[in-house]
This record gives sequence, structure tokens and C-alpha cells, in this order.
Amino acid sequence: MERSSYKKLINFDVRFAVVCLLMLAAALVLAGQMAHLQLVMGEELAGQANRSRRVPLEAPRGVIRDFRGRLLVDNAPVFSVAVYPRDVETSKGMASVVNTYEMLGWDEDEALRTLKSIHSKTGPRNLEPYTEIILRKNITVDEVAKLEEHYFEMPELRVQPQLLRRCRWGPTAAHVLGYLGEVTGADLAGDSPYRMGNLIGKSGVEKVMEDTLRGEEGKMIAILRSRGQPLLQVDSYGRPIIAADNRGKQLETVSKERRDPEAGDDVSLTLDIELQSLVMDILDGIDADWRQEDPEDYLAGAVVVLDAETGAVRAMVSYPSYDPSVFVDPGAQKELAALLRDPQKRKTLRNRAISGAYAPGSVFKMVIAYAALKEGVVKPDTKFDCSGYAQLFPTRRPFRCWRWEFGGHGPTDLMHAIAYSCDVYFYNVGLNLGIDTIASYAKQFGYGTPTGIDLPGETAGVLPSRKWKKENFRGEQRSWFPGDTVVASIGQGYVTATPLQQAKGLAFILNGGCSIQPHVVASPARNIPPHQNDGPGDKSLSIILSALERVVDLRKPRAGTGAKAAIEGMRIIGKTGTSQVIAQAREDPKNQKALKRKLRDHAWFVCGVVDRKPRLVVSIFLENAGVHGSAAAPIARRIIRHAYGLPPEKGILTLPKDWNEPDEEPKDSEGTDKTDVQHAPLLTARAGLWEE
Amino acid sequence: MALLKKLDRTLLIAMALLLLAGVLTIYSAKHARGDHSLHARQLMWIAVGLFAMLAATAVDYRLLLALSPFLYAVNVMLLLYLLVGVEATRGARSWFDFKFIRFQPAEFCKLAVIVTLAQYLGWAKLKIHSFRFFTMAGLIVAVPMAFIAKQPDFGTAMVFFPVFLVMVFMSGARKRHLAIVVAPVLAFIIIIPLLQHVPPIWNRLEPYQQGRLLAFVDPDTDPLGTGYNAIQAKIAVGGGQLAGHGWLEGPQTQRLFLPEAHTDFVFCVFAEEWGFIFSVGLLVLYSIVIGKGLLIAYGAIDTQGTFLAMGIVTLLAFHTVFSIGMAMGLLPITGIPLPFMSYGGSFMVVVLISIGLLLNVKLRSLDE
Repeated sequence: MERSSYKKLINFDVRFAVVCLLMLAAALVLAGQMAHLQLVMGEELAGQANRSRRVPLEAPRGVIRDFRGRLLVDNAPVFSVAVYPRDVETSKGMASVVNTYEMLGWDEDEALRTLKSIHSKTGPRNLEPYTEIILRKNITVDEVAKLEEHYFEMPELRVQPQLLRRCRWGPTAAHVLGYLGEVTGADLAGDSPYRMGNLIGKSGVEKVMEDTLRGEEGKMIAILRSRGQPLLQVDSYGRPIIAADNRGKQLETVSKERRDPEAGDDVSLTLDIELQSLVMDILDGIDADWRQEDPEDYLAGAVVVLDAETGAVRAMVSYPSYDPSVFVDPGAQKELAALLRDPQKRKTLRNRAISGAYAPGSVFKMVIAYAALKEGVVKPDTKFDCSGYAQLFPTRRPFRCWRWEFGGHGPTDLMHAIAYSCDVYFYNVGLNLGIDTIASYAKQFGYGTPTGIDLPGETAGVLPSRKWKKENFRGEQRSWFPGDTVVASIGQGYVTATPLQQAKGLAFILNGGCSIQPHVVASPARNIPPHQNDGPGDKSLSIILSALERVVDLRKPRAGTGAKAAIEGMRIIGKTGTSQVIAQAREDPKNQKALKRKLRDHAWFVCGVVDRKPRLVVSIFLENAGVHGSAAAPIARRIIRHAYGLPPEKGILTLPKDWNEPDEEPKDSEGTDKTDVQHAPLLTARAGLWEE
Repeated sequence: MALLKKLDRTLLIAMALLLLAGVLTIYSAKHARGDHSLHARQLMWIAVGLFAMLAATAVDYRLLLALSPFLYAVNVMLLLYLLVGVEATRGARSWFDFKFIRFQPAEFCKLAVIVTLAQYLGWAKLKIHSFRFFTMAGLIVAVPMAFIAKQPDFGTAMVFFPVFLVMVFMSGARKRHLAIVVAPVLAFIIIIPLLQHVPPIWNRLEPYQQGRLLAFVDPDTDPLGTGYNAIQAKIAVGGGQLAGHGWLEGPQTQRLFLPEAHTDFVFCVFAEEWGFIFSVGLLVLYSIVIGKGLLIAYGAIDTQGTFLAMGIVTLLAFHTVFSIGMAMGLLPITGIPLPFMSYGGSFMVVVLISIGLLLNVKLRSLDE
């Protein structure tokens, strides 16, 4: 073939030859290496096949302590029964498992279930060889001895020392501590430090502090016994470097080809576990009482105890609770299943203290009062006459005060309106403020935004405003009606808050107007911005403070609504509240007792200690407890007495059966159909209401 | 049927044997996990690839060359879209996921770049002597290469480098221009062992890249991580010895000691089960494909055809040498599949299209 002048010019043939030679050389090198590996070294390498295995070395997870260093969660060394799935593929292997279970009196269905799920989900062959499956954790020493005795009859089952995550206080602080679960696909994606079967924090502190608590898994290369137990630690070519006995116990180390596991770091919390368990005991007591009345009943609620200055959470109980250990203990599968199935819709796993948003009820009046003083809508001595009703819109039914049966509160000023929780007073004040002003003040207290506590799953609650309603409703319902403001003024309607937000709100007043950052982790410390105090005492706040003190006051002429929380020689502020469940309940307060438990109103009591250090805030929320102060205030008193080292009192350990006293009946009512309120001539209606 | 006669029968037979070896090996690799479906998928991909190959043979390659700017633009845009518009799966943005099928644009981009560069070099001819034209040729390759490296798919990006070198070398590039490109790479290979002592560069590498580089320099540095795989691969190949353990009998494969047995380390499975004799036979088959390709390149009717064939031959040869070399511990572990044998739909189709293009160039050449 005739070559073109271009090809000649560039010496094409030489260049072509160079490329051909390079490729030939590469082929020869490959052939040479094949000969080297397969012929020269073949025998040696063949002997190394299937010998060495990477064996993971479990790293202990960091422990969790309370603020006095008491252990809350640790790792218990336990013995477990494990199998290699391939050993139990055969019917002989299966039979061996069943026999063993029978011998030890265990539930063999449980083992079969586990094995079946391995077979159906992944197929045992898809697992790395010698991936162990734990059949049963936490077996007794006697059982270990029996298994060892029968080792040769049933070699498929292996006894293995292991660490089991143990929640030492059971359900006491479950929602704060959280539970562990196996890693999922998302955790394994990318450059993940986890492998299949690892445990990871799924909720609470276990989740938030995962990176601190998690250790670094170690690895070694070992020759395995035919059943898979590490027999001899070897280097990567299978040369022994550690002599080990047949339990894998190390006798002598000769090489560094082993990465030892690194334990995770410990975490300390701000919780006081003693206080926490006291709260738990109290709630358990109430729960037991309710069940005695009606076995279908159960208590649900939350209690938060907060240090008002630092934001440190001293106790946080969500009721009902669970034992986090059931999530990691294969022996507790029935308990776990019951917990997850939740037939009574108890929502046990939910941390009601931060994830439950409820109408804040009359507790919200402290916000309204503050806003009113700040905005100059009322002076401390401004009075509204409460006749039990407020005819706010002439064409509508009047809004009711909760004391309507007794003819209302009469002329009421700020102090009395708060102390006796007069609704009419706040209807008027709220209407004058308008919802957007209310919202902007409530925001300062911390309503409507998550507190930013270092726990997962916190909700923001709802702080309604015109804008909010426009964004969240459709059609006619999008506009804000005056009636909406009226109900918001007493903390009902759209507004919701979590028990923690309520505690933070009261702390705002207790602190003279500075907001705190609630937190449960004490160390390793999170960077918490120092709270800023707006200079020397806000006068409006001190007025509210003394009004709130009257709530928890036994003095004449009439005790405040939260008087049951009063402790002699202690200055305590507080506010009771009720979160309405259904409107009908309010029609006739006598109904409350007749109503099924589920339909009764929720009770709030939030209080704080003024003249002691640390200044603690207690926020109590009880679902369907029916009446505000009566149900919750005595609990607060017990908690405070305990927290400040006062001796416990006798006789009020549980609530008396008929604690509905005539003086403290269920709440208020707007008594109207909201949709029509817009037709009411608001301004004229309001003008007629002013009475000074 | 003169045309059919001109189809290269030896090349096609070698190819068929390699495909057969591939399917058998994938079957064996997946047999170890009790999964008997992957070889069927591979067969389906081979069928798709063969159709694509026929098409690539039938249409005159000069038409393809004329269309190369469009091909190039489309491919580069796909790569760009992958980087900005697609969620990363397992930390990389290499795939378009159509649920039932996953499509890897980087593989097709290899062909688009070769076709475009062939067209460019055939047009530039002696102008390649000028540094400006040489740089332009470099840019044609560098842009998609950079996108792919960013995915990050370091292995695939790396393939572009030898393809570029051989093609511009064949087109008459000056030695000093080539030296400018080769020198830093050579220097890099030499300094890798020293690299870990230079934190500013070292710290910019991903941890897995660091691990692989270190494991290449000395597998014993990380025997618990990547070095472990390299060692298991060597044990598998060596364990095959002269006659092999027999199909479905390789202990390293069947007991899952071998990682990525059906893709990157497919040669290990073959070598372990079939032994030295068949491994050398495999090497001969690859040499036939490569050798035939070189002859086709030499006999092409025009310079574009020569460059096209040289680019394709280099692509196939580099993949083959690297994948086998890696399996035998000669080269670092990078995800480079073995042509005709590794499991992978996009790559299989691209390899078969490459063969189609080689045949295409041969069909249009003047004589035997």
C-alpha cells in the first residue's frame, strides 16, 4: 500500500512499531506474572486460600451518666448464643438449635423466627462468610455451663461473650436517653464507619451524641476454626502472629497487624436521676389509681424540671414510658413487639415533653398580661367586670368565664385576673392587643419555635398569627376572625406549646426577661450562647411575677388556683391551665366527671421557685386529668420539696379520688360558632365593654 | 457478499470465546452467593451489544466522524448534568438510574472522545506539530476526563490518558510536547510513595484513594483494609496453579474471600478455577483481538480511520492490561473492568461497539 506523504513525514511506521512493541511488552509482563504466581508461588499461595479472615473487634460504646456521675446507661458483659447462618441451613443444624432450646427451656419459636427472617431477607449465602447471627443475648452462667457441656452434640451453637447496652434505670429516663437499633441502608451509604448489624442511636441522647458515644471498631486477621471461631491471629498472608487458645483468648502477641478497638467517649447529662425517678414514681402512682377506677384508663403526660438560670434540664419524664433495653435484647422481642404495635395508641415512644404540642391554656395568660402591660393596653389597676360572661359580639352568644356558675369574678384587676385565672379579663385584653402583637410577645417567651434542646424530635408548636392562618388554611377559613383572638387570649384554639416550651416561658419571667437554652447534655459541652439579660429588672415582669406568686398562695380571702403547690417559707410562682379536648365538656362542668377519661380536658401546671438557688421551674402536663391546678399542683409541690431537700409530706402521695373541688372547675367557653363571628361589629362591641 | 468476507473471522472467534469465558466466570462468581441470575443479565447485555456492534459496523464510520462534534457535545453535557443534577448514589455521581436499567455515560464518553479526537487529528495532520493544536487535542480529552474524575470515578478517568497519548503520538506529535504530558505523570508515579509525607497534597485525596495508593505501594501497610483485597486476589490467582481448581470449585471465590468477584476481579475467578494454561490462553485471545485491531489500524483507508482504530485498540488494551495486572498485584486497585468478561451493561455495549467500529474501518479499507 502506498503511504501518504503525511504518514512518511511523521515516520508513521516507526511510531506504529513503538506502540506495538509496548503492547507486546505488557502482554509478556502479564504472562510472566501469571507464571510467577501460578507456577512458582502456586503451591504456597494455594495453601493460604480460605485461611485468614478479617475479624471485627467490637468497641464498647461510651457510658451515659447523670450530673452527679451516677451511671444511667452502660454496657453489661453478657454471654450470647450465636450461630453462623450457613451452619443452620441444613435440617440437622436446625434440629440442633431446637434441641438446645428445648433442653434449656427457651422458646424455640423465637429462634426459628430469627432464623427464618435471616433466610427470607438476605439469604444466608449473601452474608459474608462467618457473619454471626446472635440468637439469644444475656444468658445465665448456668446456661453457659450447660451449653459448654453439650458442645460436641450441638456444635452449631456458640457461646460468645458480648456487650449488651443496658439502661440501668429502666423506663425512668427512657425518652431522654433513647434507644439503639441496627443501622439501616442510609447509615451505611458513602464513607460510613458502620457495617451491617452495627447498632446506632435511634433516639434521645443515644442519637444526638452518637458520634461521641460510638467507639472505633478494631480489626484483626485470624485463621478461623472450621466452625468459624478465631483460632489463631495471623498476618495477611496467613502466618501466625498471635498464639491464642481455642476461645480466641490471646496468649502472646508478636505483630502489630491488629487494630485494637477504641471505646467511645462518655457523656454526662444535666439530669438528676433521683429527681427523675421521684417524678416517675408519682406518675406511676396516679396511673395505678386511674387503672383501679377503670382498667382501660392509663395516664399520659409529661413533666419537665428545668434550672431557670442555666437551662439545664434536671428531670424530663414522658409518660407512659418504656425500657430502652428491649430494643437491643433479643430475649425481649415480645415486649418490643407490644411496644411497637401500640394497640391502645399510647404513643409510648413519643417524648411528650418536647414532641407533644397542646393548647397552653391559661398558662398563656402570663404572655398576654406581659404584652398588655408593655403595650400600655392596661395598667396594673385597670379593672374589667367579670359577670361570668362577656358579650363581646352583640349578635353572638357570650363568651364564658370558667367561674360563670358562681357569677364570675366581679371587678378584676391584673393581679386577681392571673391569681384566679379570670377569662373575661383576658378576652378583653387580648382583643385590644390583636393577634399579631400577642404573637410577637409570645415569641419572646419561646412559643412557636423549638427551644433547640439537644434531643431529636422537638416540635415548634403553633403560634398563630394572621400570616400563619393565611398560609395554613383555605377559603373563608384563611382570614383571622376576632373570635380566634378571643380564644387565643386564654391559650385555646390554634395556639399549642410543648411542656418544655411552657417551662421556658415561665423561666423567662423568673429570669427577669432573658431566654435560656434548655439542654440535657452537660459534657462534652455544647456551645451555648450566654443568655443576655435586658439590664436591670423589667417593671412589667416584676408585676407579672408577683401576680403569678398569688396563684400559688394560700392567703385570704381566697387561695389562688395553684395554691396546692404552696410550700411554707418558699416563694413560688406558678400558673394553672387547662387544655380543652372537646367543646361539649365545657358546657356543663359537672359533666367532666361523668365524661369518659379520653374526653376530659388536659391539665397544666407550670411553676418556679423564686428565692432559692438554683431556681427550678417545674412544668407538668397531664392528659385528660380534667382540672388544672388540682391535678397537677400537688405533684409540683412534691417535686419541689424533694429538689430542695425538704422532708416528704404524708397523705398527699396520690391524688384523692374526688379532687374536683367546686372552687376549681373546668374552664371557660366561647360558646359560639366561630365561622359567623366576622359579622359582628367588633369595635362597637368592644367599646361597650370598657369599665374602669 | 464480498463485504462479509472482509469481516475479520479470527477477531470474531476470539471475541466469542472471551464472551463465553466471561459468562461462565460470572456464573461461578455469583454461584458463590447462591445467585443465578446475573449471567443471564450479562447474556442480555451481550445481545444488546451485538446489535449495537452490527449497527456500528454497518454505518460508514466516516459518517460517524462527521457527526463527532454532536456526539461529543451530547456526551459532555450528560456528564455535566450528572454532576449538577443527579443525586449521588453511594457517594458517586456516575449513573443515570432508570430503575430497571442503569446507564453510565462515562463509558460511552470514552468512544465519543476517541471518535472526536480521530476526526480532529485526521483534520489537523501536520498542524499537530504546533503546540496550539496539540493543546486543543489535549482539551478535547481533558474536559470529559475532569468531569469523570469529579464524579468521582478515578479509574475511568485514568483510561483517557493512554488513549490520548497513543493517538497524538500516532498522529505525529512532537516528542517534547508528549514529554510535557508524560513527565508529570511519571513523576507522580515515582513520588506516590513519598506523597504521604507531603500533607498539602495528601490531605486533598479522599481517604479511600489514600488507602488504595498506600496499599499499592506496599500491600502490607494496610492489611486490614484495601491491602487485604489485593492479597486475597493474589492468593486466588496463585492458588489456580497449573490446572486450576475447576469451574465452580475455586475456594477463594466460592467462599467469598474474593471481593468484587464478578466485576473488577473477574480475572481472579477465572485464573483460580481454570489455572495457568487457560489463563495464558485467555491472554492469547486478548492478544489476538488487540493484534487484529492494530492491523486494521495500519490498513485503514484514511488517517482518521487509523486514529480511530488506534484509539479503540489502546482503550481495549489498557483495560485488559490494567484489570489483569491489578488482579495479579502488579497495579493498584482501581475499578477498571476487564473487556468482554466483567459484569457491566454499559461497558459491555461500549466494548462491542468498539469491535464494530474496528470491523467498520476494516470493511472500508482497500485490500486484505
